[in-house]
Amino acid sequence: MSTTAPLTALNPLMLEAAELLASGRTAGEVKDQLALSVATFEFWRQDPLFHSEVGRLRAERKAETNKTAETAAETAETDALEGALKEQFA
Amino acid sequence: MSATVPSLGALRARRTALEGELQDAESILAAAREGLVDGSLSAAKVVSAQSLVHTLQGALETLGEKITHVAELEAAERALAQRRAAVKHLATTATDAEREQARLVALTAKACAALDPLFEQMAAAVDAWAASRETWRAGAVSLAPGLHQPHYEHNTWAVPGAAQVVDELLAELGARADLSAVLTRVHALTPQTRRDNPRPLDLPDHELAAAVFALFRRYYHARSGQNRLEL
Repeated sequence: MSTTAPLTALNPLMLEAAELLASGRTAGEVKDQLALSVATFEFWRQDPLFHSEVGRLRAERKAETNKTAETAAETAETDALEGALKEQFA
Repeated sequence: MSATVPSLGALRARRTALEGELQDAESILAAAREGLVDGSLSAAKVVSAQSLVHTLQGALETLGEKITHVAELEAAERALAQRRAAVKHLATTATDAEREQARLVALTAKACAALDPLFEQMAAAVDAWAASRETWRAGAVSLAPGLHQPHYEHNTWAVPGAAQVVDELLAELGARADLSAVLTRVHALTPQTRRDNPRPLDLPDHELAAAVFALFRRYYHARSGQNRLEL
């Protein structure tokens, strides 16, 4: 990639790289998995649009993790209430 | 940055769009390969098109995993919401009839959990007994007093040692009243019994044993398909 102008849109490869970074893969792993050159990948990583997409995807993942934890807590609470009722009944 | 879990609709729309892009990329790749053969396009075009196809396939795979994950999250959330509503209703606003029904379900689950391993032991005994014609010819041992009364004759399994299993079962279940409640429900499943004996059962020992064996018959017959006792 010879241009140094900021990106105006992310192509599928960039989006895939952003997804992989957001999923916790290291920069080296992403670069190897997608067969990117160091220069290209570094350029993307410093671009505000790419950086922002990685941040958005990380936030989405965090929201998913929070939702999972919330569901687990509510399940435990429901289990406890149901268990108490069963004790009462049986 | 605050974010929410992406909506399934948005993710699926993105998948549809990506699938369209992949189809386009595959067409471009096919055209590039033809161009390479007739010399109108360079190998670099093929490599570039091939690379795009791989990228899109990877993106679709990643997106597919995300869709599965979000769908699981949503399904778990829906199931939990239903369960919470049911449990809260039972704890607070349920009618006496609903609470009685729930009590019976809880008792049944408890009884089934106790019955399963015992019935499995009995089933193994029946299997062993049935496998040996000699044992069968030697004469079936009666189960418990009263089981050969005409009314219960059709429910009788003549299994050596079965009476001990019934004793074990009763010890396991502990409360006789609980078992009677469960058996009431079993009886209620039979139209004839429902008609003849709609009242709750207060069974003497031999009738309780007969009812347990009636239950075991159901278990044994269902064993090949679903090895669980479902009342």
